[in-house]
Amino acid sequence: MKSKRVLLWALALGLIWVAPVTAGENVEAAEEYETDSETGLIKAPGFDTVKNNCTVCHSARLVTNRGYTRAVWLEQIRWMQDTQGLWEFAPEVEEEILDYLETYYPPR
Amino acid sequence: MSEDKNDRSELDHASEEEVRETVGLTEKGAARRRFLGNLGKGGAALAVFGMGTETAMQTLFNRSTLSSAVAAGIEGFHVEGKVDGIIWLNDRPINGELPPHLLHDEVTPFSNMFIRNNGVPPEKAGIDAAAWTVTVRGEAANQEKSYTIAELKEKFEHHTLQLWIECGGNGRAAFSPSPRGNQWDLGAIGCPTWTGVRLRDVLEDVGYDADKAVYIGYKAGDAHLSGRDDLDALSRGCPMRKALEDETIIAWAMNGEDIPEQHGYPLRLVAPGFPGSASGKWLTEILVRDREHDGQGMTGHSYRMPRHPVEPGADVPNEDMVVLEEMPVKSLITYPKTGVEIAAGSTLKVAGKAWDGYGDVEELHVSTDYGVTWQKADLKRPVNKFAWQLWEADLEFPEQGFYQVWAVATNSKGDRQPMVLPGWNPRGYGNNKAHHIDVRVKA
Repeated sequence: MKSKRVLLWALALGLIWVAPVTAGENVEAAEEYETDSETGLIKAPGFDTVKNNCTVCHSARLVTNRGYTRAVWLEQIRWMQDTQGLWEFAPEVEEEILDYLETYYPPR
Repeated sequence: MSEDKNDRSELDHASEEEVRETVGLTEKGAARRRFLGNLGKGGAALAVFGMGTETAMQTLFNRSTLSSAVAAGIEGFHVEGKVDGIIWLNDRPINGELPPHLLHDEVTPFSNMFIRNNGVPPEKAGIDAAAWTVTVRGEAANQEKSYTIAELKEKFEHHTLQLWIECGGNGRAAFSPSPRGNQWDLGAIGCPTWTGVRLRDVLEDVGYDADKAVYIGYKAGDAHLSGRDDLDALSRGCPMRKALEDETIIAWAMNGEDIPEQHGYPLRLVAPGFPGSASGKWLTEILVRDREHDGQGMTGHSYRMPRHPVEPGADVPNEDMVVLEEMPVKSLITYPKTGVEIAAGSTLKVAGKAWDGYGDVEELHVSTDYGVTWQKADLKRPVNKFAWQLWEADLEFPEQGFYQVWAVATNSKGDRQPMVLPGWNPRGYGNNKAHHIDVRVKA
């Protein structure tokens, strides 16, 4: 939660002079961070949690070449938990993953 | 932009600055890493903690094919023998499609055949094809019976047919909001020749209760991505009416050779006209079910469409979803490549493929004025039912300038491809929007 607030502040500050479109926000949010050379994931807060939980079974491409709303990301997680053998997340872990995905991989 | 975001032509036209901007943004700025020990519970998670991903993968799967794919990463990733220019969407599981101009072969060669895997294929080197069997059983089967490939070859009539296979999600990338799943653009389609025996002949040899039999389901030799033995990577099927058709076959050869590893070696189903997932690869079992098969990929939203049309982004309950069966009529312009330049006054030959889930495309029309006027193309009959059909047209342009060539196929029922996106659905299936290429006519 804390990380999300920091992010939102950064976003807000960075966005004052940027066209207010979703893609623009994504670019601004991503711009502050490096990309992990192994996975292609943006190394923003939440990166380690996402990498450790999401790339065990499938590659990070299932994140990096897509963009969904928080609701759809959550639906995807529930589908993997219900049918694909994904483990349950502690509430704070799930929150962190969703914050990361929603911020850096929104609909394109 | 969103409606046409999958159009390669738009990508081709992105300015160099735009491209540089997109690439550059990932390199600058400082990273702020935060360490966290909060991993989810479960053995798999524990196995990962403190290891690199590759090590964890090897621990979980102990499969060399997987670790090599992972090690290569998507940048250097390649499946041996596939054409340069194939678009890899994912390396774990392996998913790759072709741009339309690389689908110009009349019969799709291995090099240009798309790959859609849901799990981890069994390694070819580890398979003893002589010992491979397919077992038929299930509630509506009269007995459980297994066949080796040699027995299939010896016992039943052989059929060699050119049959197209298209991923149900081909074209998904165009839908907005983005349905989850592989963001296929246009090229998750191919039409090789397949050699095998009719599924119908095998089912009749086993014997089944025709009053009870509703569906066939398959089981396959690929492993689930999680490494769990109790989960199938994919276990779909088709209703009996499809299972009993002349062109639904159990195949051991593709283009006259053993089926390649990624395409189902040594045995697979081919059920043309249905989403590709009905054509199970690495086939080990066929279940004659007394109900709609309920294996992996049959339930929930998977390979299902809303019973009633829904608005984009709608949250559709599972009970309002029905199985996607026949794929809609569709076509591609496979020659020339989009962006072609020609001289004013010259004739441009355009050519492509057309196919339909019910088997026959009747007509194909092309337009150079966004659908105001249409010209009928020369459309060939299929070499057999469910082979894609070749078409071509000679086009003339009234003056210099920028044009789009659009192609629209019409099937035997009179269904025509739409020039706008068809109805949004939660998983983005069945996008048969007309394809177009850009043409520049120089003075």
